[in-house]
Order: sequence, then C-alpha cells, then structure tokens
Amino acid sequence: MAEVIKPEKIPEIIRAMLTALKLKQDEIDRLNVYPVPDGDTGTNMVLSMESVFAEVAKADGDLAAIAEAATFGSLMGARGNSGVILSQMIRGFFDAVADRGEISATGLIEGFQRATKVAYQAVKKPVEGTMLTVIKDVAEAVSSLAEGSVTVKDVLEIAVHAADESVKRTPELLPVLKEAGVVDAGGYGLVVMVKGAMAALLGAEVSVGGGESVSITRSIEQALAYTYCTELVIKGTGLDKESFEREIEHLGNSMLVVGTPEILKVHIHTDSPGLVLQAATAVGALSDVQVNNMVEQAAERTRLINASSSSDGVGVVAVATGKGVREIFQSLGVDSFVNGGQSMNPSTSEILEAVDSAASQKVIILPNNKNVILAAQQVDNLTKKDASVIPTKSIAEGLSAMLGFHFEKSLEENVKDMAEAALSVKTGEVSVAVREVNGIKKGDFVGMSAGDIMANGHSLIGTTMALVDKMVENGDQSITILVGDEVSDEQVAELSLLLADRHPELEADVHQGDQPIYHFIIGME
Amino acid sequence: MAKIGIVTDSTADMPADFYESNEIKVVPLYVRFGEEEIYRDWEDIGPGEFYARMRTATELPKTSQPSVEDFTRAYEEFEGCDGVISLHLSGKLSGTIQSAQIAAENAPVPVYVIDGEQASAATGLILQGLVKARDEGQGIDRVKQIAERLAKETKILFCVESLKYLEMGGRIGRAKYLAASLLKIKPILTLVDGEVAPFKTVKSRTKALDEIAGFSKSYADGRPVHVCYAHADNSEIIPTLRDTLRGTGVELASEVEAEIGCVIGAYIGPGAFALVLRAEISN
Repeated sequence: MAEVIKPEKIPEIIRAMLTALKLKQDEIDRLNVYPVPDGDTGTNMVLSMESVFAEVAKADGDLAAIAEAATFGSLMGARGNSGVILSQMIRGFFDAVADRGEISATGLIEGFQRATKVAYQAVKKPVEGTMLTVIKDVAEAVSSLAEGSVTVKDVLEIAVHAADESVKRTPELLPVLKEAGVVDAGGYGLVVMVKGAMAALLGAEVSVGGGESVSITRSIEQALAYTYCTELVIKGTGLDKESFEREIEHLGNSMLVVGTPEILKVHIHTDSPGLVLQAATAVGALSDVQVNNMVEQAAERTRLINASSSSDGVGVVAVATGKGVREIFQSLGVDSFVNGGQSMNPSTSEILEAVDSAASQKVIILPNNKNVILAAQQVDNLTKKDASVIPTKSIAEGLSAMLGFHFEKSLEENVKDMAEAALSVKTGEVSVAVREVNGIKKGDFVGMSAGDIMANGHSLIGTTMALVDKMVENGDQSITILVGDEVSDEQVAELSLLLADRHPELEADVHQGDQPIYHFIIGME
Repeated sequence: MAKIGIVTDSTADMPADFYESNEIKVVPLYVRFGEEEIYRDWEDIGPGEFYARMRTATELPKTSQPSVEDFTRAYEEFEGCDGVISLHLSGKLSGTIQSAQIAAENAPVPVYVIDGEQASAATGLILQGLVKARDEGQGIDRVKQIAERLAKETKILFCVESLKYLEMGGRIGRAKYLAASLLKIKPILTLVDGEVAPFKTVKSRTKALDEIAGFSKSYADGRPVHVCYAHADNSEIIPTLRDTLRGTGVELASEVEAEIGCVIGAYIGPGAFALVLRAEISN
C-alpha cells in the first residue's frame, strides 16, 4: 500500500483526476448555477486540468520541478471562475510539498491546508457553499490525522469522504443551489478529482460513481435518517479498525473509520452518539469529538433560507375569463383569477376571496371591466391585506398594465407604473349586437373602442378591419389580438392576412384567448 | 514624472483608436464556438463576423474570462508607474475581475482593480472620464476615487430583440420572469448593482424610444451628459436613437457611437441596442 507519493507517480495521478473530470464533465456543466449559471464549470475545470497535465507531463525530475510545472500549467490554463480558484488550490498545494522530495501523508495534509488558505485568499469575498467550502472541509477533516503515522491512502480516503459530505451540504449554504435543486458544480468537480486521485493511487480504473449528485433530496434525507453527526479521533496502541467498525456499524449510517493502529478517525451519523463515544473510550483516548444535531442544523438553515426568500412580494389578482386569456395573464405574472367580465360581473366577496387566498400580503387587483372596478375597490376595506386596484376597463388594458408590473418593486411603485402602462394602450372589442340600437340590427357585429361604436356590419372580419382602420394613428407599431371562443381558424387567418396587407407598420401579436362574448379583443400602441 | 496606467478588458467596446490615443491597455476575453475554436475578443474576431455566425450557428457561442497570466503580462508593461487602474465589467456577469484581482496581487506595480458594475460601452464611458482625470494630472488615489464615482454615475439602458440569449447564457438576472411572457414584448433592460434588471416593458420600439427619452431627461436633470449610442448588428437604429436623444433637449456634452462586441453580443443577441448616459461629476 502506498505510504508516500513518489514524484514519478504524480503525472499519472493528475491524468486520473483529469479523466475523472472528463467522465463527469457534462454533469458538472449541468449543475452550474452559481456564480453565473452558464453551464460551463465542467468544461472549464477540464480545460484547466488539461493544461496542468500537459505541463507536468513535460517536466521531468524532482518534485520541485513538477510542482513548478503544475503551478505554471494551472495558471496558464485556468478558465472560468472555477478554473481560476482551482489554479490557486493547485498553487497552494504544490507550494506546501515542493521541497519535500516526495509527498508523505503529512505533506498531503499540509497540501490540502495550504490549498485552502491560498484559494480563500485569492477570492475577495469568499462565498460558502462553493468549491471553497469543499476544500476547506477536506482540509479540516484530514488535519486531525496529522499526528498519527497514517499513509497517504488514509488521508485521501478521509478526503474523499469529507469532500462527498461537504458537497452535499452546499445547497444548505447557498440558497441559489437549493432553489435549483443542485449541489455546487465546482465543489462536485473537486469530489470527482479527489476520487480520481484515489483511484490512481490504488492502481484502480477511474470511475467516480453514478449520477448521485444532481438529485440532492435523496442524500439529505439519507443524512437525516439519523439525528447526530458524530466525529472523533481515537488515539492508542494496537487499535483495530475492522473490529471497531463492527462495534459501531449498527448504531447508524454514513460510517467511516480510517487510520492506523495508533490513530483512528471515526465518522458516523447516529441517534446514539453516547454509545459511539462509549465504544471509543473502551479502546483508546478520545480527542476532537464533535457531535452536531443535523436536524436542528437543517431546520435552522431552512428557516434562514425561507426568511431570505419570502420577500414582501406583490401578487396580482385579475378578473378574466377564457383559458387563453388567463394563460397570457399568468405568463406576465398574475397569480390568481376571478371569473367574470362583460355581463357576468363578479361580486366583491368573490374578489375578496381571491385576494385573501393569494400568497402575497400585498395584492393588486385588475378588474378589467368598467362595471367591476367599483366592486374591486371595496376589497381593500374588507381584507387584512394591502389591496390596490388598477382601474383597468378592459382585458387589453389589463394586459398592458401587466407590462408595467415588476416583481421586485413595491406595491406603490407597481400601482403607479401599472396605471401608467394601462393608459398607454388603445383598446377595442368586437362583439354581436344583442338588441337593436342606434340603427344597428340585432345580430350584426359591432366594433367598439373606448366605449364608442366605431364600426358595424354583417361580416365579422369586415367590421373588425373597419374598427382597426379607425383606431390606427401615426406612430402605432403593434397590435395585440385575442381571439374569442366562437371564431374559426379561417377567420383568424383572413384577419391576419388583411392586417399584414393594409397595416404593414403594425406588428401583429395574435393569441387564442378563448373568451366568450368578444370575438376579438384588441390592444394597439 | 508620475504616471498612471489604465487597463481594461475587451468588453468596454470602445473603438481601437480610443484605446490607442489614450494609452489604455486592453486585455481580451475569449469567444468560443464549440470546444475547438477559440478567439480573442476584438483581436481575432470582430462583431461583423461574429453576428453573422451567431445568426446561423446551431450552438450558441460561449465566452471566457482572460487568464491570470493575461493580466499579469498586461500589468508588467506598467512596471515603474505610480500605479495602475484596472477597470472591468461587472463581476456578476463575468469572472474577468477575479483573474485581474489575482494577477494584481503579484504585479510589479500597485494595481487597483475596480468593478465598474457595468458592461459594454458603459464601461467605455467610465474610461472616457477616467482618461480625463488622469490627463489632468490627478494622483493615483484621486483617479481611483473618480473611477468609482464615475462607475456609480453611469447608466445603461438596452433593448434586446429576444430574451433567449440572456436566458440561455445565464445572464438574465432579475429580468428572468419576463422570459415567461406569451405576449411579444420589447423589454428595456438596465444594470442594477452589476446585474441585468428590467427597466420597462413595452410592446413597440416607438414606446421603447419614448421611455428612453423620458429616462434621459430625468437622469440629466439639467446637467450636461456624455452619451454613447451602441448597437449589436443593428446600425440602422443609431440615427433614430441619436435623434431621440437630441429631441429631448438634454444638453449633450459629448456623443460617441459604439459597436457592441462579441462577448456582450453573445448574451444580448444581434439586433440589440443600447444608450449609455454619464453626467459630469462635480469635484
């Protein structure tokens, strides 16, 4: 078994780390959501390590020469944030071992420690939950072995385990990871590299396990099967690793016991830390005992994450009917709906109910019909929440108002911006006359804008085009059309063609709205 | 005589002669098509070729920050100077500043790395003010202070044809929710604390220009303003943008035009345009 790492072995180890990274490159890319979610962490780490390997392969001679080559290669080839931080870890690691002739267990431990120090120094504002945390946890885990006569294999074994555990915790430290349901990409890359190094040391083929990293839920639940993460170091003589393992393995999971007859490092998740300690005192002297309540820690982290993410966001309730209309409103940020509209005005209590059941404490109401505005305005007196009405008189005005909506802004700012946006659009509707009025026959189509009849006739498309012609003014550039539930595809196609022909200046945005009563709802600006 | 060096990165998107005549050292970022083709931004590839390829490419181009070594070499050129101001694009959009900071620590000259929290020509307009301060003979501490104030004062508004490049490139920031819109929208975006954020959302370019004009007036608030009109493969917009600004009555201290380079272009996409405003700061 490897007691030390000879210089001539190092290129092989680095190649194994690179191979391991390449095997996981795509997966690491997919995990990448922080600091910039551009999905290239795996690629960057591979490119960085390729450069390290190229330089190290060229270097011959002693450890000092190899260390210099690795440091140079990492600096030259560092790509992306992860690559740059990695290059600093490599620099720190080789700084610590360069003058040693070969890498002993102590050298390896100091290497991890120096790698951590240099990497943290390089980053102006270190963020936990990243690869920095992983290297730090690795360094801390191996530090307790420094006094024993451990081998490099022992140290790496602890390092692999610590890295694995550490990366699983990254979502708890960095909310953006938790939201995305991933572990930190760079941190996972480090795990993969340490595993690759371990494989090379054992002379095994590089394989780094299945796709366990992407789904974090499993590992967290697994960790929480037991309450206490218990870690300790036992010092003594003639310590028997295997028999101690047998002694405690029934007490929990995630067990790891490594070390030598003089020193054992123990890690286990258990509900009975006392029994673990008792077993340990029976065989040797205890040191570095740590018992953490993982459930409490998890609850505390969850509380912190929830506290930071439950902002004082503003919700929107819209009065709207029609599947397509609602989908569009939803895509612009509306949370909930009240059924209603022309000829079916919702009551104040219906709107109140929607406001009260909205997730936000601050709610904006879009009545989207002039006959609903008054009912909506009563809600603020009846709810405990902070409710404001943007007096939108039509669906088209409501949609326009939503263009002024910004999640991050305050209720007051939103009310101002949305009211302004609502007024920036001209609206029109085409429907059927339900009775004879002003000489328009019952059953004829009627085109209205701002409450005035602008066009009428027997033909739906003819009436709609006449309405559009009257609405258009110089400088108008866009027309939004919501198609009602009684309109055929042929009619929509005909209208689109006529629009393109007669008003090429208008960019048409036509959507199936599925609304009743109005064959077409039009917004123009 | 005391001398202050200025270093920036290629995303400041200023014309080459601006850098040359003002002795500004530009460290290029890298643009990648696939795994193999790697170009230095503005040096090996320019916007013309880039946007033409982007419009037809099946895979989006990627970008990467300069290496520490790239910065180390740049800083070495200023050995013997009083110091170097190294101004870069927002650290929330790129790791460029990270490379710069590491290189700065071992540079043979004091280097002050400044996160402009801006991008493209907005960084360019900060440089413009920085050059002026340096040429007036201010000391390094004062120039550094001025750079930081200029960075805060500068404002960029930009319009994209589509949010997909920002979204796919992972730079959409606080404008993320806009990408869900089923309606065709023309979002006007800005940078807030170095991150992409929505400014206003409209449905037509006319409205977008109206909003830009309105903002420019309230931003200027009677002060003379330096402006830059910038575009990404959309030079036709420049005269319109210029006329819009001139029509506001805002006193224009200077006007420049810029082409948005490959790196920023990779995230905002062809067809985008931007207006940068920078009021003169009082001493």
